[in-house]
Amino acid sequence: MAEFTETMNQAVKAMADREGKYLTFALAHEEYGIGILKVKEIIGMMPITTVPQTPEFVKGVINLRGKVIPVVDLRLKFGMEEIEYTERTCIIVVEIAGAYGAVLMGIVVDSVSEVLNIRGDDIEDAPTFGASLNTKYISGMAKIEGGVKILLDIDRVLSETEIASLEKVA
Amino acid sequence: MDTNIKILIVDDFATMRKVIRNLLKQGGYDNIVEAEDGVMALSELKANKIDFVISDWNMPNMTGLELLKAVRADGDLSKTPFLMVTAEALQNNVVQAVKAGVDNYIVKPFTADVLNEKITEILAKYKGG
Amino acid sequence: MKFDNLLCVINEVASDFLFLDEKVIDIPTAGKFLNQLEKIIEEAQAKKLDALKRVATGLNGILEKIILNTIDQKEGCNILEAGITTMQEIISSYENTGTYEGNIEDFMKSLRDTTGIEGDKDTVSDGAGRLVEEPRDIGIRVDNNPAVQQEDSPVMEGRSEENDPAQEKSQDVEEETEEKFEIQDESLLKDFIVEGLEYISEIEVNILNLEQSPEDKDYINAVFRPFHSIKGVASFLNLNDIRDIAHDLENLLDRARSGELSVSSILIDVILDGSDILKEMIDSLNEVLDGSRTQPLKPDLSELKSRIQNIDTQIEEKGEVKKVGTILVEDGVITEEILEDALHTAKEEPPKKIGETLVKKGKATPKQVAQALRKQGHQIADASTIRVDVRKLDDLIDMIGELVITQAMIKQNPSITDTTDRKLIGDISQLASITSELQRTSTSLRMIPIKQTFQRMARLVRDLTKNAGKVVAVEMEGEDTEIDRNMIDEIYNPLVHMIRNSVDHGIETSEERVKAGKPEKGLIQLKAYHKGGNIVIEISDDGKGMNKDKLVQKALDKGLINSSDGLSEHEIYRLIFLPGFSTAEKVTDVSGRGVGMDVVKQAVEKLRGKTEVTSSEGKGTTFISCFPLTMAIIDGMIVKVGHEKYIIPATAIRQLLRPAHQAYNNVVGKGEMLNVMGNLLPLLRLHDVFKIEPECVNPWEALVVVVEAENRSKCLLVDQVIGKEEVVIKSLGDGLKAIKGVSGGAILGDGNVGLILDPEGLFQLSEQ
Repeated sequence: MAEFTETMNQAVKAMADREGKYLTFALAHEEYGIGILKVKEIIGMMPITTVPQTPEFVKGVINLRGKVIPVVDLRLKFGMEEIEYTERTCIIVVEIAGAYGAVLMGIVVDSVSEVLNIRGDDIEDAPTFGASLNTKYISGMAKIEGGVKILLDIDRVLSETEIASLEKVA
Repeated sequence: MDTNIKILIVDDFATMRKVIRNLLKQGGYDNIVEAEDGVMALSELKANKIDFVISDWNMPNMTGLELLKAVRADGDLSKTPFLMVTAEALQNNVVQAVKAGVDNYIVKPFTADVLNEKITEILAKYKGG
Repeated sequence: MKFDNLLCVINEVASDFLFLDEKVIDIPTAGKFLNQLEKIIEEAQAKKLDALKRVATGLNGILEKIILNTIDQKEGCNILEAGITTMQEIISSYENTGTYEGNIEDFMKSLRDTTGIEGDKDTVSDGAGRLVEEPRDIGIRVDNNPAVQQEDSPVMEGRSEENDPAQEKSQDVEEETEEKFEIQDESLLKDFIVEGLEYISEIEVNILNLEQSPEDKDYINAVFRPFHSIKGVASFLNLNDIRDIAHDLENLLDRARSGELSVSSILIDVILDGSDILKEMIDSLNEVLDGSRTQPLKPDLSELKSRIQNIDTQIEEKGEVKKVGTILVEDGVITEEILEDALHTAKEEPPKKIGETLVKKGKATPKQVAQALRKQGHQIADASTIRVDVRKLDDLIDMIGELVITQAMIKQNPSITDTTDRKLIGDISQLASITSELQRTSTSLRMIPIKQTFQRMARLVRDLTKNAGKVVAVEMEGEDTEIDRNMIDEIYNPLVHMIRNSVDHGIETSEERVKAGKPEKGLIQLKAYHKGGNIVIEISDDGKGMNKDKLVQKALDKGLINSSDGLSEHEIYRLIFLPGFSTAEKVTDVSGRGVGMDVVKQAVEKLRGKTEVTSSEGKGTTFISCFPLTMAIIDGMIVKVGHEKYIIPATAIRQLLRPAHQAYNNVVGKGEMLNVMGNLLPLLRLHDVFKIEPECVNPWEALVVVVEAENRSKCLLVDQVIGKEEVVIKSLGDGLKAIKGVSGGAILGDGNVGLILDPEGLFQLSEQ
């Protein structure tokens, strides 16, 4: 019985951890969400300086008010088809945990939707199969108004080992 | 003369503690504990029954003066015989020590005889009154 | 009524005194009296009972002397008794009549006569109240030889130097006991050596800290204590020379601690040198232990001692701010006579300033006077510094960097470049120059003299030569030359390597040197100076230099070069920087295994510096390294390739040209080459390396930037050259750090990011 309670407690805690405000955005007909605490700002598309010898999904670097930060195209990172940028395309600037402290990075998304308050009981674990995305990137699935938002663990997505590796994502 | 009294030597220089230990031995005092600064000395004092303290003055963390004051302020420890070791009788230091209640002071370098004498003197005082 | 307290205490004192055993005041009793007197003095002060205060203060002094055994107990007691009686008189008089009509002068006189105490002064010193007479009442020279008892009387006699026979006697005794004590206290001596040396390294570390923060009392204490401790034990072990030096140095630090001496670089040098000597002396004790010596080292201490004595005067000299007149004479603007004359005049008329007078007399121009005043101002400024948190400084400098960028962006904004508003153009121009100045000043805030690094290196030389059986002196020049503090740690490693090289492979052993007709002592010179926008550091030794043939042979053997043809002398010496090169015949533990100069070169270049070496066989070798003055800003040439802009560090650029068609060659086996001023240099197509679409493919239609890296040059093909710009270097972030060919990013005037090219990386990329 004690074990069961323990597991239940953990599950409850996990749910509670994921609960909160999320910024939702669209990427190839799917809706995704990132915890609002990770989002620093949202900017419109701007010229990106390409950097040689980086993986395809690393588009390059931009000037963010005097700071040079790298920009990742999420479509390419997730192995989706690349499309031309439209006027709705945005760069979301996120702050993730790097090896030596917090690091700023930009991610290119099709369009930004809204900030949603998602309750713990609306979040389920990611399915262990059949997902088009590598499940290690997903922290949970949120059921909202008849649709599903895929909640991303953005630290995992943009972790350094991912960026620095030269393997192409198939 | 009870040479079995427990003596605490406080000095941050290990070699100095050894020097004093050797001199004490010459006087027949064999029951010795050491501490390398005032903080450790205090905990030693509180943990064990120390009969006599010989302390250097210039130490990091807690100076000899601060140790002395702490000892004199403590209900249980206040009557502990305290001998201060000084490198040269810096007037200011000694006077401060005396005002704070030190029993006597001894100037480096000293012989075993001198050390012995001072200890005996101090102990006599405590026995007598 | 209002004297109740005083009455109480004074009566307490009186009764305590009465109950004294045999009129002997022991320490605890003295302590009690002192505390009581303190109260009396306080109250007397508050109630303005002057006479009482004087008497009590006098008694305070007596008690102190009793404690320190500088006065005969009996005499002291008598005066004490008299004093107590007097105090009682005074207080009861006040109590009864509200005043005191009596005379304390008799008492005060007797006080003065017997003890020299002036009751009016507060004899409880609050400064470095050191005793003039050293009350070595009982603790005189340690003789562990109990047979030799020296002055044991309670009335102490100081270590009287006039007492020759006694001194001689004690000297004899010392020598005797030295041999004796080896046997008795070997383990004690061993402990002392180990701990003593530990303390010395502590001193060295903390002294360097102290130099950076001369106001920090904690550091002063941290340096004071070890000397004090060493002195203490040395006195027990009869190590008198060690004790004396430790004592002198400890004194200096004590004076610094109390504020009497300022922590100047002179003081630090003396302390450092003193601790070095102490180290040697303590070290030599090892040899006494193993029998190879009979006595510890007795180095010549006269120089050190005189430096210690002169420390006051030296510091005073430095502190003097020169007068304007003196500065003008020194600069040769006016002669002494003119100055004299002007001083005279300046005093006569309504007193004028010397500068004004000189100008009036036409002996100096206002400009010259202004310059002299500025010089004087600098001297005064030298004396005043403040401490600032390094992080705040870094933040400030970063922000100013951003300001530079933003200002550049404004300047390049079409609305501004197209405007005809003259005032606006002028204002923007003004903004630009102010920003520039601001930036220069702010980066200078981070500059510190390279002295500390040089000193560390000198220390290193000392350690290295000891193990190698060589004798080397180190000379420094320009140690006040400044360098960005962020760089100072980074450059230490490469410089250390060069020094190791000099000591290991350069300087010969004393015998070899003498044989070669050179002075026995080797010489290493450390020089630093500013040149262009860089700091140049030279490390030269007068050792055996490098043999060109050997170098070439080694390189051939290792397959690092194919032939020695066409190698200039310069290039031959540069061979040592090739990876895998090492002419060491044996691997010394000091230099490490074949860790060669290539590592050094890489480290230097990582800091965007350059290093060169020249040598003269038999005479010596010199390493010349130059580093940019600051890490943050670079002079760059902005070029365009296709749609992308890149920044080429100006220091790497040799030439800019549009090649003629005939200059283009395609050499079999070597690839595309261009003939530049008679030399065939490889062509590097940037658009190829970076996979971009270029505007022009043919070199004769485009532009070529001749760039140098390592020891070769190549021609970079670009579409356009936009111009030269000073840019602030931004790191691309940890994830993108290791990109070859790119050393960082910079925000260009148009707001986009331009990648800063790394020539060496580019070359390597193109060669793959």
